[in-house]
Amino acid sequence: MTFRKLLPAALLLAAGTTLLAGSTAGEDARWGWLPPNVNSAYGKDTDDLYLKVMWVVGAIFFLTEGLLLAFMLMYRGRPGRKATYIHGSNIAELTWTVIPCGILIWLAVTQYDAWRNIRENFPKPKDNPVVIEILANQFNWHFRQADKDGKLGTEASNAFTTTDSLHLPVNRKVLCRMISKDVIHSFFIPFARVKQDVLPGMMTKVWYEIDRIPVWKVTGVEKRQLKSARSGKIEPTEVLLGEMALLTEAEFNAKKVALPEAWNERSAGWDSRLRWESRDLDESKRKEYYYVVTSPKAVFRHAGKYEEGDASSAEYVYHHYEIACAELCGLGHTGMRGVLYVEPADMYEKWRAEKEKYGESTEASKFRDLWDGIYSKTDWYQRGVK
Amino acid sequence: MSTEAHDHGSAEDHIHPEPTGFFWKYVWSTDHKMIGKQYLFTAFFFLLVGGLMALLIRWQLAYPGKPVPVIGVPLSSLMFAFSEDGSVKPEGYNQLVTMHGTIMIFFVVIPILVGAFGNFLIPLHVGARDVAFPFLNALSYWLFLPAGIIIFASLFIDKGAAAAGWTSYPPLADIEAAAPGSGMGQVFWLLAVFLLGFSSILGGLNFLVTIVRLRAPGMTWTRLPLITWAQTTTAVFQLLATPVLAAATVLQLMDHVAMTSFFLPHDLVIGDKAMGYSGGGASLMWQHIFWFYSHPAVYILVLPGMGIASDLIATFARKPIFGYKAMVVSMVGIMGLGFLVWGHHMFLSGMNPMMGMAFMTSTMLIALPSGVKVFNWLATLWGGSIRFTVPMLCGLSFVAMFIIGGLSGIFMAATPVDIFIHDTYYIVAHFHYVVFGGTLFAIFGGLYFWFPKMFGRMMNNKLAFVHWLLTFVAFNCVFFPMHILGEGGHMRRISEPTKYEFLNQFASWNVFITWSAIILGFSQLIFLANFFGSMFFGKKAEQNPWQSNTLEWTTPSPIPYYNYEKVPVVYRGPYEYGTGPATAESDCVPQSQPDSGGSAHGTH
Repeated sequence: MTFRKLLPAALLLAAGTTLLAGSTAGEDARWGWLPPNVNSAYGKDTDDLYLKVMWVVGAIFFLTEGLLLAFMLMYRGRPGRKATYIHGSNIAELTWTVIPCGILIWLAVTQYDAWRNIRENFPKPKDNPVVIEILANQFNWHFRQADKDGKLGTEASNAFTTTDSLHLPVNRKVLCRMISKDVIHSFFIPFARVKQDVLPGMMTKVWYEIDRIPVWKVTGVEKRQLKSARSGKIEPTEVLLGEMALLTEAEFNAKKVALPEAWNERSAGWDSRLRWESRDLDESKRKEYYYVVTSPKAVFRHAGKYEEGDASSAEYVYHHYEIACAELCGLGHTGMRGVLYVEPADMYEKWRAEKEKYGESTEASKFRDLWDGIYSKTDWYQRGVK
Repeated sequence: MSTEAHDHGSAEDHIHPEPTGFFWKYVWSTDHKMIGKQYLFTAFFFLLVGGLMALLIRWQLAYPGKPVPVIGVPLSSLMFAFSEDGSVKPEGYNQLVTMHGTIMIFFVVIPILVGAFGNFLIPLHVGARDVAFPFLNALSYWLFLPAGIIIFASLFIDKGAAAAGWTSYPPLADIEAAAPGSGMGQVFWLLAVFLLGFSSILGGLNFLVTIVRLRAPGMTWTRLPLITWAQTTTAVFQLLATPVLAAATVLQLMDHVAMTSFFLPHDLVIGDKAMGYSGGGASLMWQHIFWFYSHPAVYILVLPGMGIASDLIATFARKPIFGYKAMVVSMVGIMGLGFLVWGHHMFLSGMNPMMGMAFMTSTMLIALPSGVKVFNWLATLWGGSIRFTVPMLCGLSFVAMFIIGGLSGIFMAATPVDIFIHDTYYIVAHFHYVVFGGTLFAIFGGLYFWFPKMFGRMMNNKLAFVHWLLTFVAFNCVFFPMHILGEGGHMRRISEPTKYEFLNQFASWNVFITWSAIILGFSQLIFLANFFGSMFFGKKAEQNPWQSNTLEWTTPSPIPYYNYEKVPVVYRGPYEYGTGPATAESDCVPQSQPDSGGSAHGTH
């Protein structure tokens, strides 16, 4: 049949189109690789294991798919060709049973240490971890941090809470104890390789240590006609174009970084009054990534000191990581987004001292009984996650 | 000669006449072939429904909040899932995701593989006149159909269909206050799955007894076609795993209608409202029970596909399958290990990490039998004389895509790696490579292959080729990039990826995937047009158009009511191409063709 002659061409077309799919997907798409890892506790282990699996799997992929294509070509039916009559070969079959078996067991065994470290090696008191209690609900993350006495749970005396925004010091171990008051959620920080389900009626724990401070590296300034997130009107707005950069503590301290307007106030409302936003913009611009400057004035931090300046002169802008819920949790699941600020120890301590004055937010304090109550009633569930 | 062969011999005296009335012939039929077709046509309907849902999901991901063109507004008057302007509501998105998964798994792939192919082929392949319990067989279908009607109806009820994912994790699935779809929608879902479970258990029992008891004289276990072996292992899964799910659905149903707390802990508060459940249950318990069934269900989804691919590859490479016994042992191995790997869905669920290590090891090991099968398929091609018919292209596509789906599974088995890729598009890519790229290609291959036996006509070859090509290309354009999304941390089941800064970079990928999915979806219309067109206008089929060896090709096309005028005697394995008394024109050696020596005892 004539169209059968087209077969090799068709197969090539199929393979080619598939491979070319990447380059046709637009300029801001990328061949994805894992996002940057900022978890110095075990993020690199996770990524290394990923790459190890990738090498093994990649080799098997090219071997098997290569053989498949080669055999299709070599043994295509032609007039006069007769298939070899053979039922099998014990040696061949033993080979491709025993070798993959060894590889698979090796792959499993090499994961054990990392898994144990991630899931069982929680920070001890001597590590001086920051302890965070997370209460998840539809569709918020409530974070409770201890005051100086470090007490939480029912003993907490002066703990304070934030909602959908978490502040952590850089280069310090963090232990999160988590519980949900309604359905199952999943605490996910992509850049830190952290993910753990959060359940009602049962406490789960996760730990990590973040060693990079996220900032926004400004590459240009533009005036655009944008819909204001606050007034809802289209108005000329200054926009800082740029990209995310991840600085070490030393680099962060050395650079001049623009901070949010209310930085010096240290008020409870700090999080909601950021001047720079990259969300809720005019829809056509939404997928672009930039900060909107709603006021020309900005506070800069440089070498541990604070000064005022012109926002458009910013070289770096203080930025955040994102926290997501990874388990389907209802109609607002997509919006269960939190932000994670990671800052040098002095900035964190100042922020914390300020927050302690305010204690628990009104929104979170109404859950307080529930929050404490859940912890006190979950003893038998807690086996294995002491 | 075996005992069952003697038993079966006497059945020849009990041939009933073919029913003539429309009701007895097409509706309440006990003929396995008609029941197979009933499953097939019902599943086609659900394939369209589930496929359309996939496109609606993709539309929302590429263009969040934008009205769905053409059908959005009309659907909004029928379904809770749509806003008045024709866009998908956030809750509607969850309902679409849930129902897409439920429908595709429970009402498309399993019914086609087990209901349609199992029914149609098992009696033919073992050389029987029908299944062991024809009445029970009809009952299976008539439990399946109401389940389908219930699940379909749930799309149109007040507050819409179930919305907690096809996995239906409590408490989200248990409490209406947590999600509108978890009210009546979830009750409908549970009833449907419960009925379906019964249908499945009866089907598994029936097939197992048929294969064990009704094999024709000389049809030893090592002469069964591999698709029948696959159906055997699948039947064991259905018989032993499905009751667990059926029981779990009853417990969750009680949580809904009787205020029990099988899966609900105490002190649940939705919004500001304390729910007042007595508590004491655990949501993790549902996950264990659900996956105890649903991981084996994944193998129910793929084992028959492996069987079909084996049949296609041996037939069109004109060679015996390489390592028949290893292929059988692999399937039995998958069946055994399949019961021991459910926990790999729960690495991050809060389950004890020690169990995570055990499940990781068992999961790594279950890759082994699949790997052995891949190497055996490759070795079957080696030295063959490959005929590139469309069924063969589908069979080869199965192998090519299954390799990708199988290998990507190893990333998930590695627990530390799974922490990152769990609940991302990596998972979506993985299981679509197995279930769509693998199983659905096997289904297409199987339908192109056995269509002449089903309807006595051939499907149009050119249309079939175009359908295969478009499907192959579009499928890869849809699902390969999802690996990239998953590597970037793109969560699954979110309706608006643009809400996340770190996902902005994937916006154009989402558009690309959506348009590829639209092409993929419309390509399937070519298949349906070809299928139904060929039923009436296709070229009349010969008895054995593919020169295949198995028993069904020794009886006319379409197959007469009682399959075999005389119950065949089997002399050899199913793939003995190019041996024995093959003629110069054909290397086909039917299983029922006597040796020159005439022995019915040898394996080959």
